[in-house]
Amino acid sequence: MNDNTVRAIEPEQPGTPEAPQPHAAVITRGTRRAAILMALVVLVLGAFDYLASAGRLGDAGDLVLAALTLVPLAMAALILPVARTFGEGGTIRTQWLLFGFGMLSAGVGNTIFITLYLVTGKDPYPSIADVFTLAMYAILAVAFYLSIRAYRGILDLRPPLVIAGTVSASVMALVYFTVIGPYVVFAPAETQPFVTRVFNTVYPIMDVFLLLMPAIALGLLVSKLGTGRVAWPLWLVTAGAVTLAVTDTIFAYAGYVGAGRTPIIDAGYAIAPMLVGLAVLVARDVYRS
Amino acid sequence: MAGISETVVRALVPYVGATVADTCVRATAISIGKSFDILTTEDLPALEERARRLLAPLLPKATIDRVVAEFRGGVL
Repeated sequence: MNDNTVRAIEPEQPGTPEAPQPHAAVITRGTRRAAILMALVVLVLGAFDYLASAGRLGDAGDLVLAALTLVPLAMAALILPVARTFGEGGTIRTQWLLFGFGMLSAGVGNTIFITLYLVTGKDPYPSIADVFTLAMYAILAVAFYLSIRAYRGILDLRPPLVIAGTVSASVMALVYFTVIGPYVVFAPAETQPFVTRVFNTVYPIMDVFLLLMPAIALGLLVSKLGTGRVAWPLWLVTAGAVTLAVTDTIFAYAGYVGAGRTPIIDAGYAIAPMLVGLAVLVARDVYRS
Repeated sequence: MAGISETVVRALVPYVGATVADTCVRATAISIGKSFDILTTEDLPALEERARRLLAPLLPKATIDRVVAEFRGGVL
């Protein structure tokens, strides 16, 4: 059961029931190594990003930015093949494939963005890249919807949804009064073109209602499972979505006040997809246990 | 030897936690007009059917087959 290679989960032979592994033995060495590798990548890229932000890498700083933007593509390349092993036609497989396609969409958007930036030398926002980034929100929202709906036969979905909705509405109000209102809606007309203004409004709304809200609802639901291992990968997905939503909001605020990108923000954009990538490995281990 | 209910709960707990596992078995018992403590091997198909239905959106079929095989093995 500790095979680290990606393989299809085959049904056990009848008559050979196998007791579930103890919790400590579920996570394979391959998954632990992947987690360490991801942490190292964040640390190394973060260090180079810090140097780049301090102007110590010259033009090479763009390569650091390019490497960071490729993280979602790398995670899509990890998630999609693993998710395909989760059995034909099942809801579980669909959920994980959607998380993978969400990362793929973000990765394509990032790649187009960085290519346009490196080629033109100008900030390509908004651009065709945003179509893919916005598609990521829609795809992840559907993945979260399926993940939450999976618990309707087991748990009462209403309290987590009500709490998540209330928290998200409060956060949205906070984001509106601190970011969207002063820096977008009531900003002088000449500071932002209309299209930029629309995108600057749409992104925080999507962060709150398509990422944060379902992530909170899913987190509250799986907290009811206690130590049940089905919850483990979903904790990571929830953490990834919350990290992305928070990073996006901080980035928007930093952009409006003229602070721009910071290594912390860049790290957030790398950590969020990595958490989702790690989640699929944990899910694989759990399903095999 | 543990009762059927306890055996099924024990097989489900590692995956869905104690509360949900217990709820699953109790709800099955109620649905067939019995209490948690007096389920017999005759009720195993109902327990299996309900466990499969509840776990279907949470786990791949192969994993569910393993869980069911485990509590069947523990009971029969």
